[in-house]
Amino acid sequence: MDQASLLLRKQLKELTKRPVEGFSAGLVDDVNLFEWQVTIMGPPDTYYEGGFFNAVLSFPQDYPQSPPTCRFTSDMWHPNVYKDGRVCISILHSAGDDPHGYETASERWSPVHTVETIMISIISMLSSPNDESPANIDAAKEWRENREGFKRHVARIVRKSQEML
Amino acid sequence: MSKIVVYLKPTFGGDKFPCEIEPSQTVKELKEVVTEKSSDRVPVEDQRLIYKGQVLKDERTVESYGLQAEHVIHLVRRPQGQAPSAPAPSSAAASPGSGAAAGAAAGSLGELGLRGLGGAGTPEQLAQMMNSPMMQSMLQNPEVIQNMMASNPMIQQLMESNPEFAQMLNNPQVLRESLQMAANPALLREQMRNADRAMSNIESHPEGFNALRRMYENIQEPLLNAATEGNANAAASASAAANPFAALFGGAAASAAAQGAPASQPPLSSTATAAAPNTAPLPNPWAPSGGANPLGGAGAPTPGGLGGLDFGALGGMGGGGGAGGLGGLGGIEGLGAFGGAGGLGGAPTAEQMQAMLAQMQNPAFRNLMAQMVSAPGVLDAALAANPQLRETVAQNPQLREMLGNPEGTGAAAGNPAGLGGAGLAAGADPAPLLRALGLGGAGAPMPVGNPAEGMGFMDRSANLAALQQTGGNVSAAVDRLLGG
Repeated sequence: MDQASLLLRKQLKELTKRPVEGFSAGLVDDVNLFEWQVTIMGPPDTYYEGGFFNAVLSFPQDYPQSPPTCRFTSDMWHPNVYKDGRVCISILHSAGDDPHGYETASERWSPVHTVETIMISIISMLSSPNDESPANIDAAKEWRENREGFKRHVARIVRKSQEML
Repeated sequence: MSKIVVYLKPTFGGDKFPCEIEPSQTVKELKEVVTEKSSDRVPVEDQRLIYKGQVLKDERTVESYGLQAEHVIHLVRRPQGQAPSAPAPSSAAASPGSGAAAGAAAGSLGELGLRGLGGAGTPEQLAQMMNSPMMQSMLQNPEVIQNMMASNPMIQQLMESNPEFAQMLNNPQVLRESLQMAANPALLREQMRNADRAMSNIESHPEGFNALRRMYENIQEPLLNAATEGNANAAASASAAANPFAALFGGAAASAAAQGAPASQPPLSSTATAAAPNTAPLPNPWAPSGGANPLGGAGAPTPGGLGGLDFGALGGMGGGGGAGGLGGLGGIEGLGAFGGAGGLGGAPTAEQMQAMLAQMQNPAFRNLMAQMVSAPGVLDAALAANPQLRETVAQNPQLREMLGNPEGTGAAAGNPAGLGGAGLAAGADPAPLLRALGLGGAGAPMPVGNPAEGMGFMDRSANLAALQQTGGNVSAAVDRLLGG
């Protein structure tokens, strides 16, 4: 078995026995270690509190050399999440590619990252959006200029996510 | 098979605790164990178990999720005060209030969520409700339903004056079928389409149209009258869901009609159970404002909306504004309609708008509105049930005055041209008002005083297009407009 599979299998085992606060992770399909489904519980004391957001983590074959991608399958409204659900945070960007030139190497992908550290980054992204390099410009604008509207927007997706339960 | 120990980690605080379960048991049985073991005995229906990134479904077995010994499951407690079947947020007009109203209607069947039958909620929610154990046991036992109906004076009266209807209610087969239909959204949709198709077939048949008219006179009109009276009573007594059956009638009557149709057109009875779905949606032969509209996700999929056959008026009033009336919330939601047509969620075109206005001219409807607004309790209850509306009213005292004044609303109802204006004039800032009133007319093509323009959507044709593309769902249309 290759390194990526071994690593992912180990992490899966670890997470099912000792899950981390704030999210639950498993495989989309039990035979494919490279596609994970994750349920993120909206962090307390944020606009996302009470929501349950599903996301899919897709790992490349050369993990951990390259980062996985993360895409929300539940509706999401956040400055750093594209409208199609893709998450845009610096630690998921390959070390080599920094098109904008303002992420330091330490902020980008590094092979030490695991599902757990990625998810913790995403949960912290939910609590504190970074509106300097927005993926969803409308959401970022609303976050900056119309916080009430942003709050309502998020409340709507939280409600919607609860219906899935 | 031997038992395994799994751990539950509550997300609402507290340490993880062990539970013993056999892998072949269902998730529901696991939840029962969890109730016993959890420190504050979380009821089964409040539990959400999340494992490996998915929410565990009650009816599946534990082993089907690959759960093994020592694994840890997240235990989430459903937010307090949320009704078992949360109302759909997409139907802005019907959602926040009706849920609370249904909760308040703890009496007879309110708790069971007959609100769902009344017209709010998605087919899935309806199905979920119908599949609950209590509903299931009712399904098994039509007598229970008959007893329930027999004990309701309103229904008895209705049955006495309408022999056909009595026959229908006394036929366990009909009851069971209509309930089963409600439990299965796919079947329900299929039935509705079949009913529509049957209608168009009958209409093209010589004499068929007359038969339809007779049916309308014998069944639909009395029902409409009865249901309207029922609403008025419900509103007047300020117990929002005093007549939960009004909604059920919709379903029962529709299924009876559906049965009636095949009778005169024998081959159709086989299409009712045919597996292959008709793909073409059929036009509703009668009322343009009828139950065939999504009504903000409300009308079409529910028996209330099964007025596909059609409670024309009831479909518009009952299904839309009446989500309030029938479902339970005395009808401030209905006032959303006054704000600007969009409140009726699914009435985006001008003709439908006209039809709705015609209903408002209808003395029965105005009477209902007048009673509703003159009973102070109703207004208060409605306000209490809808925080958004309350907020708006707090900001705009005139609005409350207007809502509380039967003449005011009556006038608004009687004067089509004044509708948009009245809604807008009531609040200093039209935007929150319209939002509270169920996104009132965001983009609904009003003949006068287009509230969409008040909200800053200036391009009428774009508004119209957005509404059409989203099937009349106002909030989706707004999203679309905002998203360009």
